[in-house]
Amino acid sequence: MRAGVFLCQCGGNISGVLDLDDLAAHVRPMDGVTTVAINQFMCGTEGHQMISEAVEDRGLDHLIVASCSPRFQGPTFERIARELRLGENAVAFANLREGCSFIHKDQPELAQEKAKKILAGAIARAQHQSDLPRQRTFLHRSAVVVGGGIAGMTAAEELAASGIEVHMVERQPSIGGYMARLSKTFPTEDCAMCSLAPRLTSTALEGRVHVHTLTEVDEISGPPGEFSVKLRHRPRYVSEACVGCGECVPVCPVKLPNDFDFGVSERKAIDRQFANAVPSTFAIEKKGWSPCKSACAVHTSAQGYVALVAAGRFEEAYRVASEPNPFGSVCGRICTHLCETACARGKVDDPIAIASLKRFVADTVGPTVPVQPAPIVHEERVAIVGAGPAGITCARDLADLGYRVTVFEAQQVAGGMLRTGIPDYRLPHDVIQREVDQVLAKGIELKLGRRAGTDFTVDGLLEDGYQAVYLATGLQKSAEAPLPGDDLGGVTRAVELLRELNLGGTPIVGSKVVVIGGGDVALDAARSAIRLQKQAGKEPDVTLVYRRSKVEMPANVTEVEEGREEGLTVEFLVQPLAIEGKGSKVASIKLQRCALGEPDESGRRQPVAVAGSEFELVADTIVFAVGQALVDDFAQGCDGLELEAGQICVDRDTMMTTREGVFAGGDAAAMGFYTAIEAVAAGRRGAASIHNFLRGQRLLPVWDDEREVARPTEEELAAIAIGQRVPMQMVDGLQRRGDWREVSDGYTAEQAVAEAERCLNCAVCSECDSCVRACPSGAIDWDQAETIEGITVGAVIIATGHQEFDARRKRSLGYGRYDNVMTQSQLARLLAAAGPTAGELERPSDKGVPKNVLMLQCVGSRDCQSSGNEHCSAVCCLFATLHSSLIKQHYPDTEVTIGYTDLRAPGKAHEEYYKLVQSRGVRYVRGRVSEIIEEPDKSLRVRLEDTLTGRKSEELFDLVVLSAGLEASEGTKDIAHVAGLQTASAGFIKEYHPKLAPVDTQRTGMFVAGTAQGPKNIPDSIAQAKAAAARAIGMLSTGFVLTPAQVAASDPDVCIACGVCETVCPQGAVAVTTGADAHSVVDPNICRGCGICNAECPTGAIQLGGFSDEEVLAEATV
Amino acid sequence: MNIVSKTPDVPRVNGGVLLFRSCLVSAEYPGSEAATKWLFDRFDIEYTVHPEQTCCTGLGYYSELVPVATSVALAARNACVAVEDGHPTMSYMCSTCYAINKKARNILSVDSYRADTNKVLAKVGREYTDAVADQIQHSHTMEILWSAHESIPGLIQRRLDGIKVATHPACHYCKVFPDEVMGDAENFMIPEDLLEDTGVIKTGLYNEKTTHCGAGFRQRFVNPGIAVAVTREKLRRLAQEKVDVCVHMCPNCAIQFDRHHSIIEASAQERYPFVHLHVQQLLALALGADPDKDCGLGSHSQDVEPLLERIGARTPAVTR
Repeated sequence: MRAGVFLCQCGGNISGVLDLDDLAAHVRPMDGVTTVAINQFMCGTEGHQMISEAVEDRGLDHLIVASCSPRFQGPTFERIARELRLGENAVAFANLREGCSFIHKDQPELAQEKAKKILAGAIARAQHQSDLPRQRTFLHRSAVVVGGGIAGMTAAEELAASGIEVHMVERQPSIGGYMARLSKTFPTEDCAMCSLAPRLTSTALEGRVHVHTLTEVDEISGPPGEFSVKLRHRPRYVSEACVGCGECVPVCPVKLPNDFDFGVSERKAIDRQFANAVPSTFAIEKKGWSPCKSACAVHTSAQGYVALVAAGRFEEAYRVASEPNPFGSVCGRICTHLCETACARGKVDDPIAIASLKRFVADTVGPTVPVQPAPIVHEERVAIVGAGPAGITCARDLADLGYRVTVFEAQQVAGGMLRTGIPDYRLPHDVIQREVDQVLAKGIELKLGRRAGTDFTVDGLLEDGYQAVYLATGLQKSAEAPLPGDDLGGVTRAVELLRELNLGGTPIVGSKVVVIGGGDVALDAARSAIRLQKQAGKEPDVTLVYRRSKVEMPANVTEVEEGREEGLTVEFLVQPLAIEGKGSKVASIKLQRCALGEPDESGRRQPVAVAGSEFELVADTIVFAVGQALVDDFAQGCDGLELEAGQICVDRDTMMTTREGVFAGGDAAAMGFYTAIEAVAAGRRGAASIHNFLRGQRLLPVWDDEREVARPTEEELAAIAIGQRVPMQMVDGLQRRGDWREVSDGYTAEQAVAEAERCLNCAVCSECDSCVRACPSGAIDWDQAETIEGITVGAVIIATGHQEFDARRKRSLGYGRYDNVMTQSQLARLLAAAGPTAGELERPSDKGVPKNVLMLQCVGSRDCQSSGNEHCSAVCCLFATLHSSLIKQHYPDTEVTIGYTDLRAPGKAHEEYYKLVQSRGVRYVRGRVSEIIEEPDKSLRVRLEDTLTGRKSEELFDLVVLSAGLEASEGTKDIAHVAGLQTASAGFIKEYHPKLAPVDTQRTGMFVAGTAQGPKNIPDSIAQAKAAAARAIGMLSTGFVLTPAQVAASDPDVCIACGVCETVCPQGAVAVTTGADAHSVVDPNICRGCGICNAECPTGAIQLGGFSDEEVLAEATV
Repeated sequence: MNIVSKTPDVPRVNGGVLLFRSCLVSAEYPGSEAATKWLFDRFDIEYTVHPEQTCCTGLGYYSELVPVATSVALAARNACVAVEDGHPTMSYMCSTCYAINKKARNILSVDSYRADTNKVLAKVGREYTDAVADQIQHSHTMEILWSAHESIPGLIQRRLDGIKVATHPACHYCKVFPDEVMGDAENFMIPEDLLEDTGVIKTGLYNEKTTHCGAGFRQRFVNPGIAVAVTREKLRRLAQEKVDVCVHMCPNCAIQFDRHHSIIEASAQERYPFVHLHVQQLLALALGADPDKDCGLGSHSQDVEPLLERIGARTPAVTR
């Protein structure tokens, strides 16, 4: 080795503590040292020249540089060595500044000794340093800029001007970032949008910039120069056909806080963030299906019609409610409304009364809607057997599809079990008839009193020219549950009792009635029996016995409560044992109490008899309501039709029976038992399947695809003020006993609107289709879906910006609780000419002009409490000063006070601006606020301490504006995670070196700009963006990138593929191969030479270039 | 709109606890301790009350009668007692006991202070060792109860539907170690969250929630005007929230409010129509405890009978 030792005085930083001549004398005789030199600044031109001459004159092959940290000036000396063709590992560093003179100032003698050791170590290590290989990667001349704010746009513009293709990725619907939301900018007080708008336009028009809005970066992999970036585009649901006319906005019924305006205004689910948005296309916010829509068997857009009711648009609400379901008035009364069970509002207080709202619109609007016959498009004829909800719905959908449809009904009235099974007081007959008539008005033929198997056969229908038949005959008789004594006089069955009643008869019930069962039919029979008793002049005496508890009961619980109000006695956990007779008549029923045991296959807990708990009830009428069964007459004359366990066998996907061309649905089909809404769903699916069959298409499953369900987060729910459902007027229970009129009156229009306004709009867009109807260019596109796109780029610039500190975290300041406490960002929107108040300052509580405003600095900044951040947010002093100035100029009578910690105005002309605004009459008080109290008149009592005078005061203000600090935006935190970048306090991205590489990140080829790196104002963001662009341009202009010399490498012969290196690598640079010769491989393009893998490797297979065991040991053991 | 924070779920307390008895609880509101024990039994929390436990010295310390070294020495001794007994988790009913003992733990982590303390402890044959320091846990009783809150729904016997409750957060719990508070130190919610399943209406954050009770230890006696003015301000704010019960987690706060409530009403010519109870008392009542025998409500100055009638606590509890 022929080494030169170059000792740097570092302008006195080193020589002020260490005696360099003594050090020179110490190392000169050492083995391999050929020359020793001292210079004031070895990193400067003189030092450079000194090194060059020494290498040339003395034939040096190694340089020992004794100066500062290699982290600081290492690259300078390595470049010199490269220029002198000494190779990639020819410099050994002795850090005499940070390692010695800086920290041992007070002990120069000991420092001198330590310096000698450090130097000797460096010389020893140099003996073992050998050249390191480097690789070249050819570069893509393109870049991705993440974030479309002022920094991102500036960087993109610079890159594009250098001929580099740019992909700009922005998660919002428009580029523009935070600056687009400001009113004016300091210190010039010029309009933010006036500076920004031209840049937005130029970015949009620049051919080399590809703007991807509503897009996020999911993954970045690969080496610098050749990054593979995975982009996730969220659907906008509005195509490029949008001309930006805005016709869609007024018709959208969904209102939500406008996040662009920081919540000081409302926006619609379809929206454009601001007038100059780029792109100008509107966007719809949709989070999937609302829970109510998902829970509904026919997926009615319940949120849609609820939103329209809230907007007072009842006709449109009826359109949305009736599209999937012809029985709006019916379902509004008797539906099991799983939509309400799923309603997210139910987690806060009461679920929205969705069924009652449906009833309101269907009752109010339904009768007024004229129905035209549907045009016949197809020649085929379809026969429907059964005019219940499944049959009538199937007929409606087929008629709408253009088929000739005939419905055959065994009874003399249509409606099926809705008509014959549900009593009038719960579902008035005229309501059913009206909705059936509206379906028939589409040109459907109804043949009453025609029973399949008796009056006609299915075979006969097919022979007569019907190409398809839909069997929806229902379960028309009671199921049998054998019980001793069930043949006695006075024992009856609920289905038959209700049918007789609903067809105009008066079934005879005794004075003491016992109903057995826990379903809706049992409740209907019991409550009808009360009315029959009262009608016959008897006092109601009806007991319902159910063998499980209220929780397991299939009937709607409100039915139980309403029944009790009418005088019904309900005995839970009781089962019948036998009916006792007197002669041929019922005299009593023997019962037994039960307890709940383990759950059965239905998931409900099973009743277990309690021994010795038998008791008897005197009764003269026993009504069985323990299920329904099929009347299978229709099977006669339907060749090939198979039944299974008392229902018709069907293909679960297509609903076709075992006889081709014959379909079945509703209660009769072997697919479980149906509620009314499920019967409607079965009718719809039957129609779709028959259409497929008749059009010769393959019989594909016709079930709807389930979509992602939007659910508010716990945090969102916690922020909702607790209220209650608007109650519906009910007829008094005692009055109801002998009365067959409907028990509830339904909502009035005012009640309906008030109830609908409680909706949380879970899915945001309610899918009411109002925008589809309003859009003149047909731009609404529901087929858009999330897509993933992969791009390859040479460089990455991160400009994902910041967000305002959530001032709710400072509890004592009342933000989020008090109407008149807002943040500077919110004030910026109020003061913006294009903002929600057109620049007028309004006090939120009363919309008046505030007379006394307090601006409070350092909220969440310079705060040692765990609820805040330690850093200074840099812009707030001037942000508040700007807003104070604007207020003073527009409202001279308004007093403005700024409560500050320290006034920081270091930027160009900032101090002058502060003085100017102070001269305009703004009061600056140095002090912090302990607590803000809202008085009953909404003014704010503030306890403030002036820390200059030490005076404590309590003052009243009518508006308090919090200068909430800056934190990294969610986008910044996300991209840091995706790109594997280190972050500093409050989530800001850490630069590679705070002084020397302020726009570089820990990963080569990735640069950072703007507030993603830390709080800063607009000029600084722009300057940094230009710097980041220059770094990217510089790198991409070389055409290739060299891997660093000091990277890890793995020896496959030693590696045991344990995978520790892969786990510990913070850059994701190490991967373990698979197969018999599995071993780790380090990607030198990604490796940053941190050495963690090297330290963790149990076998020593991984070595770090420049830090081989020989080098390190030599240095450490001198 | 009030902000209602939700206390995070925590694992159930591991093993038993040493129920640290408090001078003020014993002297003023023994029902608070009785209700705590009653709840521990219902929640299957094993506890012990140790005869060798001494006062925390809080009253003396804050009246400048007891020097800090004495407070630390007694805290160290009490920690030794708990660990020796196999109950290293302390459960404090008084927030000052909590803060004094927890602060002493920090002081005892400094070698020189620990050495000085151990010199004194040696005279009574004890030593505050690393083992003691590692094992001792200082928990407010609120935290212990919260760790078992999942048991509550199944134990409710008297619903508190419609009763509006507000928390008075104890300063020596929330402000001495704000970063170690379970939940939100500026909007402490455990008392209301414990009662949530019983049907109460929670108040959450309200004006002056974090303002202290006014007691200020000796301030109550040497500056009664200031002390009472602070208490009155807080009572007014609670009245504005239309609460039915202000729930407490510290006997000193309860004294200041319960004992002064009627006096302030009379002197200020104002009405504050609500009562003060310890959280443990109200929760125990909801779970079926006897108001007198289990909750000691007779020691309260305010008339709590109307509330007891309203929640049906004057008739035997039944499962509803």
